[in-house]
Order: sequence, then C-alpha cells, then structure tokens
Amino acid sequence: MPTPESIRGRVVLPRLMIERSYKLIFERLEQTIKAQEVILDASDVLWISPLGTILLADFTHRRQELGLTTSIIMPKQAMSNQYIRDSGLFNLTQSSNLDGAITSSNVQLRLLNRMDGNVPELLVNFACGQAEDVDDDDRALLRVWVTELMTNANDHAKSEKGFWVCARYNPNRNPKLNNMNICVADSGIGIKESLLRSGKYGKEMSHSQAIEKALEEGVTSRAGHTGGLGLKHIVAYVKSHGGSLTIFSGNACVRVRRKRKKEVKTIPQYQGTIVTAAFNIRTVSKYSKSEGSAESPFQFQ
Amino acid sequence: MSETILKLHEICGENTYTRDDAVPLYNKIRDGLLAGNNVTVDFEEKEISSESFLDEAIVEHYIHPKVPNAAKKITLKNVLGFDKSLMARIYNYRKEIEDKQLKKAQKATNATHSIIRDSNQDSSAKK
Repeated sequence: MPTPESIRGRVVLPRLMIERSYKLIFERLEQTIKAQEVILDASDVLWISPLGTILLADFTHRRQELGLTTSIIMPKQAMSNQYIRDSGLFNLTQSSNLDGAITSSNVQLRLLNRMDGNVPELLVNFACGQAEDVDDDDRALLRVWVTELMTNANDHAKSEKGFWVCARYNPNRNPKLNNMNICVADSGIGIKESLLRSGKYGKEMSHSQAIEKALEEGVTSRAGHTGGLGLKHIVAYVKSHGGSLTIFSGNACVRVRRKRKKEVKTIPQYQGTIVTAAFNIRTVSKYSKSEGSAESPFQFQ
Repeated sequence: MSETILKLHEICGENTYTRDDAVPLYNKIRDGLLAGNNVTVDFEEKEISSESFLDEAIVEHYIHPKVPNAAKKITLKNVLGFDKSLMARIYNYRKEIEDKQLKKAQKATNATHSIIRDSNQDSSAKK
C-alpha cells in the first residue's frame, strides 16, 4: 500500500535558489520525484538564478513525462513572484508549453531539441540590451561562446531530451557585481563518459578530473582531432568580465573565477552537465582586443 | 584546373552552428579538392559566429589538408569581418596545440631511442 509520502510531497524551496544551494535543492527535489502530487513551496524564495530555474523546470518536466502533477506556491516577494511568471516556470507547472519569450529581466526558459541559432542571438541581444555600450567585438565574442555552450550541449550530450537554456539579469545597485547569469543544462552522458568514450584520456577518471580535463587546452572528445577553442576560451571571456564559470557533471562541481583558485566540490549525482556563467556585462572585456588580430593562411575575397 | 563554387546556403541552409551541420560543407570542399579543382566557398555575408561550425567545415582543411597546397586552392568569399578573425583564432590555437603535441611526441620518441641505444651499449660492453 502506498504511503502518504509516496502520494503527496511538499518541497520547501530555499530563499536563495542559486549555485551554492544546488545540493539542498537537488536533494529535496529528488526525494519527491516519484510522488503522485508535489507542491513546490516557493513562498519564501527571494532570488532564483537560471540554474535554480532549470532544476525546477527539469524536475517538473520529468514528472510530467511520468504523468505526475506538480504545482507551485508562488513567492510572497513581488520580484520573485513576477520572475516565476515571466521565466515560464509557472506555465510549466500548469502543463502549458514554454513559449520562450523575452521579458525585461530574463530570457525565458527553453527546452531545445536541437541547436536553434535564434537563441544565442536572443541571449546576446538581451545581455547587451542591459549594458550601456558593448562594442561589436565584445558582442560577437559573447555570441560565439553562447553558441559554443549550446553546441557543446547539442553535440556532446547525446541526450534525447535536448537541453535547457535560461538567462537572468540582476539589476543590483553595485556596478562592480556580476549581473548577468546564463545557464545551459543537458541530461546527457556527462563530461566523464564523453571523454572516456573518446579513448584518448585513459580508462578511468573521476567526474571532477574529467571536468578539470575539459578545461585544459586542446581537450576534446572528438576522435583524431585537436580541440577547438572550447571551454578554456569561454572561461577567458567570463574571467575578463570579472565573472565565474561553474560546471556540474556527474557527482562533481568545478568553479573557476578570476584571481581565485579553482574550487572543486562533490555534489549529488546529476545525470548530464550543467554550465553556468556569471559575469558583469557592463565591464569592457580586454579579451577581444588582445586576441583579435591573429595571422592566418586563409585566402579571403 | 577547373573551379568548384560552393554557396553556403545551398549546402547548409540555415543550419550553421554545430559540428554535424558543418559536415556537408567539409565534404563538398574535400571532394572538390580531391577532384583536382580550386574551391571557392561563398559565405554570402552570413554571420556564422560558431566556432564548432567554422572549425569543422573550414579550419580542418588547413590543419589536416587532404591535398598538397590545399590552403592555396581554397578561396573564402564574402566572409564577415568577425568570422574572419574567429577562423584565424581557431587556426592559430589548433596549430599551436598540434605543434606542442608533435614536440611532446618527438621528445618521447627521442627518449625511447636513447634508452634503446644505452641498453645496446650496455650489452655490447658486457660482451
């Protein structure tokens, strides 16, 4: 006979739904994944990052696929309440489709089955729209790495479900703080499996070793090739904007920041890979200026 | 020598983002070169901004050429400014890595040779 817990679950969400609360959010959600009905209690939530948004969306979506229902108690705080409506999360709990629009402070949550070139464009327009003046080089670089994050999710994840994308702007008063947050998450094979399958990096490694490896120069899972610019250059861009890049894959989380040591943590097992980038869109990047004038063998006409 | 002219949109349509998207263009360029032709790829001023696509479709031909002097046989037409510098950046980055890997491999080979040489000298001294 089913216990009351297996029929109905209530998940009290933490006040700050951010990277640091990943373990707490993830464990609370996973405990109720198979309950017939789940109520997500967001009444005390003050801030939800794109990562928090995606964790909730993925949980709700997985439950929908199992034919289970999820509802949400909306936050008391007006800004978070509005965000949940604007981000598309509320629609998802109401079983309606994600329409992927853009609102004043976020790019709505999207679940993409394959790479959609309009999304990087939308994200870049959104990010640059929040800054006072972003030069063409910086704008183009932003588009390159957002596209790269998404094509990585598309190419390497081998996930049938596709991948999630979400972005949010934090209009905080301190101009030096990171104000743009972009998250791309897939539920594919993860970085470790991707590198092991390539046969180029040994037969055994931990999830944290795999993430650190992926951040090294020239590392790729493609057979017989050297890597492209990859994650290393995304990190360079984000750091040049005073930001950080956090990668969750398997049971490990690695965070890289400007002028700080790399942080490696063990987390509850995540099926797939999540990459979140936090940076200050108002900072002028030195990255583009230092690398823009490379020589090449190409004949252009 | 005849010329193969490839129009990006005719080959890839709107899909110019992933490595899979790049494969048809890579193959057409390769086929043109293997047929002994010069190849012109017309980007038709489409903004690509995808490292994966440009690496797989274009830069790969310069890193691992299928015919001698491939770089001189490929012409890239109507490429936007940022995509030109992105291609250059990818090329230089990959070239640097391949050179490093080559040096590392050569070092390893030299080390193996010196071990073999030393052990041969040891055994002849014992005799």
